[in-house]
Amino acid sequence: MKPPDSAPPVLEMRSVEAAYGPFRALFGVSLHVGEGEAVGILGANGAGKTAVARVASGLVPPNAGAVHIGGVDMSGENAYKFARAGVAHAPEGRSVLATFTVRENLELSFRRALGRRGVKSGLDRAFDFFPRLGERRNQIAGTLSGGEQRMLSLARVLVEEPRLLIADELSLGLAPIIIDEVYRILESIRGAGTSLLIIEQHVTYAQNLCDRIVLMDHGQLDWVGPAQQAGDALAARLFSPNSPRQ
Amino acid sequence: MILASVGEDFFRAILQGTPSGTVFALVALGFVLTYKTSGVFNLAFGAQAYISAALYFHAVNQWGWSTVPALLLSVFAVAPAIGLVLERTMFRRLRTASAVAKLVVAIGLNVALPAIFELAVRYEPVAGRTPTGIVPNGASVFYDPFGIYPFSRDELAQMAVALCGALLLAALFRFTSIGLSMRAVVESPRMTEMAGIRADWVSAFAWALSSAFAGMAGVLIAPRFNTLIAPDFFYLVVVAIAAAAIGRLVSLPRALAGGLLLGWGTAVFNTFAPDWAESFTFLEPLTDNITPAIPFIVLFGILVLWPAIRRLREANDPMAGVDPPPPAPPDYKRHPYLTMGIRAFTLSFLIILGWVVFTQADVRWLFLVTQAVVLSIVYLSITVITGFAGQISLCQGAFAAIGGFTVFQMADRWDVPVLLAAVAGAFVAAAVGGLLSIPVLRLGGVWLALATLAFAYFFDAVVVKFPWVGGGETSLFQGTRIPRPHLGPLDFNDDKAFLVLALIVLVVVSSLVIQLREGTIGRTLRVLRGSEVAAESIGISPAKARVAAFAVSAFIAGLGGAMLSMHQENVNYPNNFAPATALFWLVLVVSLSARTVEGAIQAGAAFSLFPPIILNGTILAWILRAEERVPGIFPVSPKWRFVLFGLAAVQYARHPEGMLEFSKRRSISRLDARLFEKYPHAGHAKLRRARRGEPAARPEAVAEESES
Amino acid sequence: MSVSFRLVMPVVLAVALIAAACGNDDDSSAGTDVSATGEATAEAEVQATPEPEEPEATAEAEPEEPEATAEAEPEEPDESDMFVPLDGVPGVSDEEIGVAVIGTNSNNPLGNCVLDCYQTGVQAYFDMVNSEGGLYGRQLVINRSIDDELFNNQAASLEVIAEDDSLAAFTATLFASGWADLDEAGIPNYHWGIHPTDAAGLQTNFPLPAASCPTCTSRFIAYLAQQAGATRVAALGYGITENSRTCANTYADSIDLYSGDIGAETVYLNNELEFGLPNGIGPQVTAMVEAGVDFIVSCIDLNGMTTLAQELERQGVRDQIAMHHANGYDHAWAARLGSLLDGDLVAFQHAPFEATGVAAVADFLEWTEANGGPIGEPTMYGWVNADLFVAGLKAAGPEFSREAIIEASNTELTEYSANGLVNETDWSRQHLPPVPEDRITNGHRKECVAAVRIQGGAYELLGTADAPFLCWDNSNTDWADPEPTSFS
Repeated sequence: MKPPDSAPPVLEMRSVEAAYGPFRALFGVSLHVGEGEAVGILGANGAGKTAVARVASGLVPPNAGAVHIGGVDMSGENAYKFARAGVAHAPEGRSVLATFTVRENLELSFRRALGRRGVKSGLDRAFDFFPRLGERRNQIAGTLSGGEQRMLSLARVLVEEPRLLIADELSLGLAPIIIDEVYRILESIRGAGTSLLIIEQHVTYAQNLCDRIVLMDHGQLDWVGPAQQAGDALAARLFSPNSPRQ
Repeated sequence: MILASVGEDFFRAILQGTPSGTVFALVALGFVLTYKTSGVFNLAFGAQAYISAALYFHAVNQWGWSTVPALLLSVFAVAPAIGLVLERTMFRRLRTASAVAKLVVAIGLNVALPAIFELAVRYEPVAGRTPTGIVPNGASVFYDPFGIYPFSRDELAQMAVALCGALLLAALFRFTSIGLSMRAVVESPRMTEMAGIRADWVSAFAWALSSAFAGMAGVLIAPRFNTLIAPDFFYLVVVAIAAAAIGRLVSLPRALAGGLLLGWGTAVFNTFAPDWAESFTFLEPLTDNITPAIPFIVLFGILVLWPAIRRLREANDPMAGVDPPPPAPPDYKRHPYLTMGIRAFTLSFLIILGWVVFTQADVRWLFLVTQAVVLSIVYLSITVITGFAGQISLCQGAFAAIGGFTVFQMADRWDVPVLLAAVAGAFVAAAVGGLLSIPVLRLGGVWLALATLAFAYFFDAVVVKFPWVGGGETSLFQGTRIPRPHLGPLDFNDDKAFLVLALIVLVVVSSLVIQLREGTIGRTLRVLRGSEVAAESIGISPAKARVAAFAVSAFIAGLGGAMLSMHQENVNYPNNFAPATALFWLVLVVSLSARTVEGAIQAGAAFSLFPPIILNGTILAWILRAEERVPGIFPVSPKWRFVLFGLAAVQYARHPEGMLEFSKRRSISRLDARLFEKYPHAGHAKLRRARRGEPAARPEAVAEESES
Repeated sequence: MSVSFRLVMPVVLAVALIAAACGNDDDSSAGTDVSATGEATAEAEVQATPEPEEPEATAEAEPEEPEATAEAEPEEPDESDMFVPLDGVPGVSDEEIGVAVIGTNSNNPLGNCVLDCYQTGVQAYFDMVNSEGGLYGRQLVINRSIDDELFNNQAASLEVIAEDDSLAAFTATLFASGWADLDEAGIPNYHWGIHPTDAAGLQTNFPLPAASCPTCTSRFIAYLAQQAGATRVAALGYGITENSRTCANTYADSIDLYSGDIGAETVYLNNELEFGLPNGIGPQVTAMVEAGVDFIVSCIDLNGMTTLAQELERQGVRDQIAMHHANGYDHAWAARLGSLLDGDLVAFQHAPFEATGVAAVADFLEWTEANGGPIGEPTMYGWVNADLFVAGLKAAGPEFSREAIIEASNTELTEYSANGLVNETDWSRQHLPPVPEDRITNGHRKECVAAVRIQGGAYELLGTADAPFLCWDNSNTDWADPEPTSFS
């Protein structure tokens, strides 16, 4: 469904089919994220949500269909090109380099994104946002708590202000109070102009943050619509006697 | 006063140990550099160093080049080029493979690369021709900074490069962005890409850098050797691992320190040990035998005792799932007709082969076939430890030798009948294997492999010469001769009779191995191979299973070694069981198939029969019916053996089932598919669908296929 | 990749030298500077002095003139050109007598020239014999040459046995795993005597030099120490093999046995050196210097000696400490190291190439160079092995066979010396090594060595050009001066 705006969408996937080796994951998925939009993807385990995230950030090339970033066809390009085009991906699970210190994790990305001169100011800003990280700047990231690791990956995004942030199950394994904080940070990221593609299991959080919600099932889109209607759509599917279509 | 003189002796010993310590340090630095920048235990580092050293030497001596162009060629052109090729063709795709798989690849390269080089350049080592270093008059001009012990220019150059190298490289990693990127790519190439960094280029640069360093180290080290050959460099690598382990494999300055410590320690020991032995005579056997073993004892000790090593688990790449390794071939059911056909074919093949061998073969071919059979027995031990237990053991040669030596000693001293002694030898080997595995239990894949390598070299350097092993008076005057067995009226001096005996033993051991695989131990090992944590959570003790696997594997190796010695009527240790030979065994078995009995048998045939049949052109002569028509390139150099099998072993990471097994399955599967179409059987519909990659009715169906 | 050659080297090169010589002085004539060309990469520095020109000759029938170089028995009528047709003798046709050569070329981790050089020596000798009409009306040829690629000695030997088209086998290999098979098949096996354990007791096995006694003391080593003016001696050996270890022990014992006569004693013994000296030899040299050593006797290989020499130089004691080399008769090596080796002594078991007074040496040099060389020890041993084979053939008579050759060699060749090239050997007795308790039954009549001194990168004889061997009477172990002896 093409957006009516004149500006090309930050992310557009058209009929994407993707697979991990011989295991097919996506069967003809089309979605888009517009400028300044926040789109959420919901679905059961194995529905293909992470696959969408990986295709959107270039980690997995589509076998069919196309991926456009800001109107430019990036299908099949390497992930680093996506990153340079402004796509930030906070992957599922651990999203930082465990053997690097907090500082080194940030530096790795800042050197490229902000240039060598910008690293210092970038670090300062990051530690402003997250004083706790600042206290632990020389600590090995693998020894941080789960929440702190998420903060670390978000700190980078806050400083670099990419075009699109793909956040894959940020709330996984976190205490509710931390999830609150994470979503507050996401709000400010969005406020700074970054579009969001949020993959979530927590429906409410996703609904509160996102403009649109996408429901996925077995590698295909099941439903797309405004966030407020997502709840009903889900309920309908939950209580339906039929199994989802093949 | 005494203290002063002891102090002076000590200081002098330190100085005397510095040149060799520097050499160890250089290699350790290079090894750590490679590990830091690629995550690979590059056992082929020595081979890379050797190639540059030999190329430099060859260019200067044979082609008449001067120092600088030769240096540019060997260190700054060819060495990084090799690294780039390795990265591009092999290691890039192996990033998500296990450390053990990468180790096997490195071992295969270690076997293949020197052979490729020597074939390409036609380099032959020359005895007593010391390679010249890059420094003019490097070996003949000395400087004595302390007035106690002078150093040659070559040695000073080595020290300078080692020190500067350590400092520069450490700075590279700490302060530059490329250093940061290289480390990041090792942990997670995908995550690095997500930071906008071109991981492939970084990885290529890393390999080029570490390979160039290897080349530099090789050229600097070469003057130490009075004859330039590859095994010397491999020996250095083994020693250097001990040095690198002191730095937990990631610290460059510590690797430097580790190398120097090894050199100093050996020199100090050599200086003071004679005095200690005089004062305490009970120390004498120790002091006599320790020196050649020091690095291996250190290595083994560090691996076993240093807790940091045990805890050093590589950080898992969370993005590894993005590039899953190719799935292991599923345990699919073959079409019954196909199974029958294969069995019939195999049976008739064996019958024809047996008839040919027993009626037509002359003494020589009989010998070669028997050797193939006996080696297959030895290789079955590799099937157990590597194929089933998923562990790399590099000391199978030592276990086999234990079997052979036991037979020699028992027959020589107590006139024990050789067959009985062979079984005893197998048990002795099993005991040694079991005991050896206990301290290294908790070490995972690569560390275990290194520990076994240390043991193999230790055995070779020290144990073999003990009077109750391979030394002693009998061996001095007559060597390690062994008679052929007698069993009642059966005299196995007859070669054909011995072949039958060997076949019987092979069949017995094969069925034992198959039983093992299907039985409890086999299943336990398979589970452990899949996930150790999961196994432990259901109450399986990895420790017990590992010890059992080691003991069984050592038993089989010991039995095979005893059989081999009986066949040759002599233990022939350096011919049969040396550490480097055992390394090649592993390469052979792994490249064909480590997981099946068939693979071991194929490996035995390959070792024994491939060179005379294929490389010598015999098969071609037989096909063409005339020896004269065989093209002039035959007999092909035996080095091709190493090239072919070394490169085949490199495939291990992507095809752990082995190349032959892989292609066999691939070719059979087409036939299999056609049979299914013609003679469909119910119940296989699911498999058919899954093979075509369609979304199955249930999501689980897709996951079901993958084997652990 | 090849085997751990650490075990090979000492076995190969630690030839336990027998010493037997009696003699007066070391009237060494100025040695001819005969250098060995290394191998294909020509390093030719051949400045041969008295050398017959004209090496060229193939199968020219020449009037049979008993050549001093070819025969071994003076008494019997010369039947060597009598032709008797033979049937069913392997390797023998009406025109040719064929032999097999098994050696190591590829995979040789030591880098020395083995098969090629040895075979050249055999071929050179055959050429010489063939140029005089051959033997029994037939030409001698090498009809099978097998490279055992280091590991496949047994398979190669079995190939010779199976093909059954060679009268005898000549082996120059680093391993000897096939010798028992050759013996069982009754094939005479000629080789360089560097595998004493595998050869021991085999009647078909003809090593040159013949089996020596690894634990017997010897006089020559004490003599060399005396020649070097030694007072305090060190003995060195590798720990990895019994041979090298025992050799060092035995040398030390020998020095001490005659210490009263030579005025020297052993003050340092280290027979546990690591093969290849990977950690250098600094502390050991320091210990030797502290012990006041002025002469080193050694049982280690060429590479190890090079390292040792360099270390002595480094520690500034090269002039104070002279050395004995067990394996140092390699002209290219000596030339390369130049003055580093000045004053060192080398002892070995064949006539030196500098012994211009021995006719057989001249023949050897002439015919070997005609075959492209190189002049060196392996080639020499190929030559003398071929000579022994021919001697056996001659002793066997015109109706020869493998058994006849073996039988004749073991009964008639009781004073065999390859025309003065090796110590006189009695093949009826010497297939077993002698032991310290009994040196006579299985030992040489005389304890002999050829000894040279290295000066200016070249070798000078300690014997004379006519009598290059220094010999002692082996019926006792009394001390005496050696006698320069010639066996030609």
